[in-house]
Amino acid sequence: MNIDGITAIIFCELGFEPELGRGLFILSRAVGILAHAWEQKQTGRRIMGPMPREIPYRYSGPSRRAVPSATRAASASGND
Amino acid sequence: MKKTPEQLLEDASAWWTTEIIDIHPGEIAIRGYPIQELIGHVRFPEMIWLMLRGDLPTRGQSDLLEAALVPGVDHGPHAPSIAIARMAVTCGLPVNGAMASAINVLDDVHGGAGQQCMELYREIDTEAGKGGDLIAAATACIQRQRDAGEKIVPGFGHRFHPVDPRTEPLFLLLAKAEAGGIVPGRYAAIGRAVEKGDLGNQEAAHPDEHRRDHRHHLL
Repeated sequence: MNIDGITAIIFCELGFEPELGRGLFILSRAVGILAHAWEQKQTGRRIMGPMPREIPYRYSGPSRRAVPSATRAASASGND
Repeated sequence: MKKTPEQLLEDASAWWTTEIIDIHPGEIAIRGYPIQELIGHVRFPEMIWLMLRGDLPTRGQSDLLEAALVPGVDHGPHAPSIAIARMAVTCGLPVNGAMASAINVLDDVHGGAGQQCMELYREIDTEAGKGGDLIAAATACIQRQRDAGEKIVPGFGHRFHPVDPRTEPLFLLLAKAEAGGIVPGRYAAIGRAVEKGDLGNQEAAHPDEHRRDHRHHLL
């Protein structure tokens, strides 16, 4: 059983409705969210994505290819 | 029929109707209690209970609620709710924006397991009825969820912790509260029945971690 399983027992035992259980978890997590937001603010760093930029993500799309000539012609005639 | 000005005013006053707070210039009462008597006398968990439930909890109820609110505060920067708060700050959002962004992702997948687990416990409670076998009821309810395509049992198993270190201390406090007559203990028995009746099966039935936790958040 994980944290959700045991807190769900406690909230049920205390007579809370299930939707309020979610709200109570959010109240709790809001404390950590505020603490981490505040700590991060102190660093002054800007525009951090989920990973350092040196770490590549995985591209799984098609390999390089030419744009079809019909599309090029339409674009050349001003139809964008 | 055209309303009189008095009726219009009455309708307008009733537009927002609340039993929670009565507020006038220089006067604030929550659920009837003057705010100046609450300040310094009730703890924050008691205030939460008063707001949500209509009256103050007993000391035992308040202690148990408070304990349950402690472990969920943080699960590290890999938890999306925390990561999003930090990323939002680096994009220049003030704390309100960072907190709103983070809380916004605590939806069914990342923040809903507790609610889903409460709903499951209630379903088991109803399924078993008075004096029914809880393990059989738990197994039946979980089987129904499986048949409906659900891969995980909310509240059970964790993709990060082999044993969740937050569970045992709360179980001990719950047992103490049950022994003290603070809570009935029905749902504690239901939770144990889910573990006995199903958890092993869940692991065996869903060895693929990726599939098993598709809806399981990193609490």
